This record gives sequence, C-alpha cells and structure tokens, in this order.
Amino acid sequence: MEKEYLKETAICFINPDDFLSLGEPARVKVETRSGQVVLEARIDERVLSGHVFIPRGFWANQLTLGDTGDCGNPLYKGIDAELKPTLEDVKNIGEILDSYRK
Amino acid sequence: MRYENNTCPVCGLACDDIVLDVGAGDVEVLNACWMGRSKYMKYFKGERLMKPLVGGVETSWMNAISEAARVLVDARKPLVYLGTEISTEAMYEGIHLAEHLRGYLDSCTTICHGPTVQALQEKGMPSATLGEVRNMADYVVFWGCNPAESHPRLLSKHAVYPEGKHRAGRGERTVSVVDPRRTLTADQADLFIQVEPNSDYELFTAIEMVIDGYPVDYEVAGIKPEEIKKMARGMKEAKYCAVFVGLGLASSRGKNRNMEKAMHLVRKLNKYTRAVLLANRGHSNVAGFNELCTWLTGYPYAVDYSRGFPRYNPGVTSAIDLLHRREVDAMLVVASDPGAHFPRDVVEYLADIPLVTVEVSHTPTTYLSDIVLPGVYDSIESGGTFYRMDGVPISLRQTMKPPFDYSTSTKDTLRQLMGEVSRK
Repeated sequence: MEKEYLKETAICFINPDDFLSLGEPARVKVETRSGQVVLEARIDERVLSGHVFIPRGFWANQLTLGDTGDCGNPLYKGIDAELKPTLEDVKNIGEILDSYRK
Repeated sequence: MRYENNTCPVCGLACDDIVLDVGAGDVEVLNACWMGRSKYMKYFKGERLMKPLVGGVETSWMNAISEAARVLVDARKPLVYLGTEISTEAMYEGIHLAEHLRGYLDSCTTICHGPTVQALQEKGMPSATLGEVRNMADYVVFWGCNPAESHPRLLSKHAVYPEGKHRAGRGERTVSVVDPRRTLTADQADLFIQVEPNSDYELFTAIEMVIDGYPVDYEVAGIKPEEIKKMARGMKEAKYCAVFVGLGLASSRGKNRNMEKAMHLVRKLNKYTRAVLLANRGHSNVAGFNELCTWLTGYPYAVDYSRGFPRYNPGVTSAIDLLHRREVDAMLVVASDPGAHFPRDVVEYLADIPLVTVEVSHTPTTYLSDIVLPGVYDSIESGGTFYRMDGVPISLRQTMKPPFDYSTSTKDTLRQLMGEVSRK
C-alpha cells in the first residue's frame, strides 16, 4: 500500500522549461518555511512556469505549517518554495515519522 | 452473490447505485468510479486491522477499550477528531463523547471545506441539489476543483454529461474551469481560465465588475480582459448557472474570504438569472458531520466543550490550531488519518501525546498511536446515514459483516468506549 501511495504522492510536477533549467533531475529537494522534502521529479506541461504541483498527502504536508492565520485551515496551496536538484533518496513514511519521536 | 444499491464510502457524491458481485475468490464492482472501485477492492482484498493494539502489542478488545477510556479520562484537554467516512449515527456518539469528556470536537471539515462553512455562515449560500443541477443547469463552472479526478461521477452522473429534464446533455451545457493548473477537468471545458495562484479573489471581483457594467480593460490575476468578459457574460446570460467550488479556493490565500466572494458573486447573479453554488466536499459524509454538529451543538465544527457547553471559534478551537499551540494533551481519532494530512509540526506534536485511533487498516496515524482499535467499514458492514455533498441524506445498507465479533459498527465502538469512559 505504502509503495503505491509513495508512487502517487511523493512527486513534484514541474513545468518543462523549469525542468530543463534545473538540469533534468530525477529527484528534487523542495524547501519551505516549514521544512524540506525530497520528491521524484516529473515533467508536466500543465503546470505554469515558476510553479510546481505536489499531490496533497503525506509528503506535501512536510512543507505545510500549522499556522492557520486564525481561520482554522492551514495554507495547503500557493506556498512559497525553493527547489533544487538532489541525489538524496525519497524517505519513506516510517523514516519521517520516526524522526518525530523524541 | 449480487448486492445492489450500495453507497460508496469515498467522495462527497456518496453514489448509492453501486453493485457488488461477490463470487468465490472474485469481486466485481459495477457503477463505481476508479476511486470507489479501488476502495471496494481494498475492502475485499486488502490488509485489515484485526487485533487491538496497545503500545504496539496485540491485546484483547476489552483491555484496549479500557486503556483508551483511561487515556481520555486522564486527559485535561482531550480532542475527539471524527473522520468523515463513518455514519452520522457514529458521529452522534462521538459528539456526545466529546461533551462528556469536556473536550474539543472537530472533524475533517477543519482541513477541508472549513473556510467554505465559515463563508456560508457569513454570507449565506444559494444552493441546490445535484438533481436540480442535472435538470436545469446550462452553464457549469468548476472553480478551484478538479472533479474529473476527485469526484469523477460528478461530470458523468450529475453536472455535465447526463440528460436532464430541461437539458439534453453535454451539448446543451457550457462548462468553464478556473484553476492554476490545466487539469483533466479543464480538458473537458469550453473555457479554461488559468488563474495565477492566490489570485482568485481579484478574479471574482473583476467578474463582478463586468456583471455590474463597470469597464475591465486590463489583465487581472493573469487573465486577459476578453476572457474575463466572456466568462462573466456566460454566467449572466445563462438560464441556470451552477458554480462548483473546491479546495483551490478554500486552501489558498484568502480562504474563507475567497469563498465569501464566490457566494457574493452567485448572489449577485441571482439578480439576472438563477445561480447556485455547491462545494465539492471531499468525503462521503463530511457534510453529515456539519449537519449533525450544527443540530446538536449549534456550530458546524471546531467545538469546544471545556466549559461544559459548546463554544465555537475556528482559528482557536479548531484541531490544527489547538495542536499547533500544543493545548491538547490526548487525542481520539476515529477513521481518519491526520498523520498523513495534518501539517508537519502538528504531526510532530501528535507523536508526543497519547493517541487513540479507531481504524480499519494501518496508516501513518496508527503508526504514531498508543492504542489502536480495529474499525468497521460503515456503509459496507453497517447501515446508517450519509449526507451527500448537496445535503441530501442517503440511507446506507449493510451488505457484509465485520470480520470480528467485538463491534458491529463505528457507532457500536464509540458507544462501548463511552460506556467505559462513564465507568471511570
């Protein structure tokens, strides 16, 4: 189950022009104010240049923050992010959750 | 064995025409979309949590219930978080449990269409049933939603392709999609507006200006004035305009204000034609929680029972904010997966507090949980009621039996837990 979930959601969809300018990486590290996560890079001409799309799920939520701006709902979309190619592997759910345990 | 008229427990459409053909070692699912089929195949062939766990170790049902009750009773500020693929009857038990514990109560609404519900309270929402949309709508807008992938049968069964009483089918409907990404829904649209992210509010304002007769001769939200005018004209001149809104509005900057603007636009359109707005609710019974919670507490979600009576202040008493501020000291999760769907820092806190989960299979949340109670698939293994995303109640039929004998439904599980809590 986790393998299928990982295949479907641990992905970063990138505009073809941006993908080329990044050097056509297999994986990218995405960083926001909340944290960072390594994802499989995927070309997608449906995404505007300068934007990326990450399916809502476990990996995307490594990049979201619990500050709701007093409306109860976190900012799940339109988040400022930095993107760079990486050789690191995508971490699985257990690895990430284990890092939360103190 | 053939089972007809089953209700799908996945998206807010709660399709109630699912047919299951269950043979020896084989299952056929008819009428369901790919999401529904996948859910049923998971039910029949996937892994299932069968034994209660305490501290990761298998234990008896009664011991797990007792431990869960102890965790909740010992907590000063427990949070009861109800998933939205459970029956309304189970939610009734969950709400009373939160009240008895003097804890907090919330549901998936809080990370989903919570801003839409707030906007509804602020502005009011001219709405309709899906049947009315099918029979009447000749102009359909999908704004910030992608039903081709999230609610597949919304297009085929309700809003775009089917024949209605006054609409012959797709040929008599115009479809517009507003989204920052060209989605599969956009591929099926007559007009696609690729709005810049976080700019929906501005675009709503521009469309309203055109409808009111003000000049808009400049680009707004990355959209050329000709396209803005085309969309505004289409909505205004339609005989019946149906606007479906999604998390693209609720979860991006502006949130409830985006939704208020959408509702304001629809109210304005009603000066000229008939227009309605519907929220594409994500889960089969998320609307049911809001209906029930409002009936029982006066508020649709994010309820605080700590003073013995219900209070409501989203942004303060909502689950994400409570956990972000670390004000909750134990949490009961019923058939939901906050471990996968809450923001990172909130999940980090979940790992720190006692967590009790009722769930049908292993999830990131069960991985973090101290106590796990095996769950029942409501709508497959128990009857009850779902509220479809347009607020229509749908009766569930039980077709299968739970694979264990210690609970017959999520309602039964929560009732047993309440009994144990009352005894402590």
